Amino acid sequence: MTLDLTKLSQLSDLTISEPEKFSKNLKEITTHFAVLDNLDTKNIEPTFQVTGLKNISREDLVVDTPPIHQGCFVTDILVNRNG
Amino acid sequence: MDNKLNAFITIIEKPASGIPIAIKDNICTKNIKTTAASNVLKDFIPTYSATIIERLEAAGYSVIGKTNLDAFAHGSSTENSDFGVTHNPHDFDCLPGGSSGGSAAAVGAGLVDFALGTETAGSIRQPAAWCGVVGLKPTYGYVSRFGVIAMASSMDCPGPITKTATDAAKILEIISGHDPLDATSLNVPPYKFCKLKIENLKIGVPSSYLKIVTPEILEKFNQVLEVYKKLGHEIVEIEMMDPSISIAVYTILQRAEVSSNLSRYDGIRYGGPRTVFNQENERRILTGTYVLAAGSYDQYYLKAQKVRTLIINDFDEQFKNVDIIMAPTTPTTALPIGSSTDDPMFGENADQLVEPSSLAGVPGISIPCGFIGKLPVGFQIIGPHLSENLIINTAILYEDNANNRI
Repeated sequence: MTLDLTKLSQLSDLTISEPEKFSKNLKEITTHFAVLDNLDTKNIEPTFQVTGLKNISREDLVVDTPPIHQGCFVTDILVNRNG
Repeated sequence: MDNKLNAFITIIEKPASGIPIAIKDNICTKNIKTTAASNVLKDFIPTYSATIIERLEAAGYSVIGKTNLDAFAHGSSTENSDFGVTHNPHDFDCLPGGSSGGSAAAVGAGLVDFALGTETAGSIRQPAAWCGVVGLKPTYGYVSRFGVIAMASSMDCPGPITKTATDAAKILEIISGHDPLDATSLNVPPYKFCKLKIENLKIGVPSSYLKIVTPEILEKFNQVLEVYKKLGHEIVEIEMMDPSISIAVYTILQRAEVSSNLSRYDGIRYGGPRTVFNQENERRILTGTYVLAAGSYDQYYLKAQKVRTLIINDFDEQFKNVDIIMAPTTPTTALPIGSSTDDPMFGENADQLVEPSSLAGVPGISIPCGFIGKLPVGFQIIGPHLSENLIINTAILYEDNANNRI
């Protein structure tokens, strides 16, 4: 894939601080990926979860949750406003 | 002492009474600032504690401080912290390793006996080796991730950093076990240490791992093997996949998961704006976005997930023939401060001996095995899923029989 920095910047919601340096770094990083091309993965399933857990769900029950209004729920917001 | 080390980001002035423990600053602690060493979260005060913190507090431990790390755990040097580098307690001009560098340095300097770190690929074992302490990375899913600031969720794993393997076992007993709040948590009871009489162990040593370590580290590692040989255990050379393959797989998957996990920092729900991410964070998010983008998903991301299956199969095959795998933890001893700057692959190279087992989700423990000059060396013991008791007992066997204990 050709490297489209504008698109990458939009997708990741980041302003690329040093575009030239990043392009160079990315090129360097992707050269390490070439080692994978020699491996045969034709009939190999991808691994998304290493311990074999599947479809973890909880029972749909109403539970009592601990109160969140202990004076701390708002601290982060206050700190951020002042900061 | 900590003024020189810079191991802590936050020190609790009046900790609750209990056994002191230091916590890596990417683990949420209720009412205690949790920054992940990033300017993005520099004022973030969590409204709840991670499950592992609640379990430790219930067991009589008291949080005495929050330790430094590479910002969002992106790195293996603690040099990518937005709050300054941590120094190696054995040589202030050297790096402590990372990302759990603050926790390893604090234990290594004797500031605290117990600390928690998190490992995605090496972040517990590598700094433990560089700081001369014990670092245990448990089986993936054995220790709850609820309340741990996510980095690469399919690999993230909290674990203890301590002075001895027995201490690591004590902490694992408390923090392990099923947690309904973490959907990837294994439905198994908590770990219980039991002393094993270890006889006739078949120890596999991957020759591909030994090719990339310095001659001095190899010599130290051979001395470790001698200790086990003298006790009557069998050492067999095994052929495993080249660790450079794991570097590629890990780099792709970790960056991809980072780009997704760090999308939540939008400056609205948490902390500062995305413009304050440091350069390494930015590079990782962008690289992750690149490997997941429509034109490169199959070539990079999907390919890496398939090769991850091959890596897991490799470990499964080996464990049919050997009980455990042993290798040095790191290719070199601690590197000088400044080494990681401007090297986008620094961490991957420093962690290449621990990355394969992290990708496979199997447990590993790093144990100190002497010094080269001023700097400590560590070796690691890797076992199959949920074989913590075997690897911890094997580690204790070394601690009891080697005469170069730290």
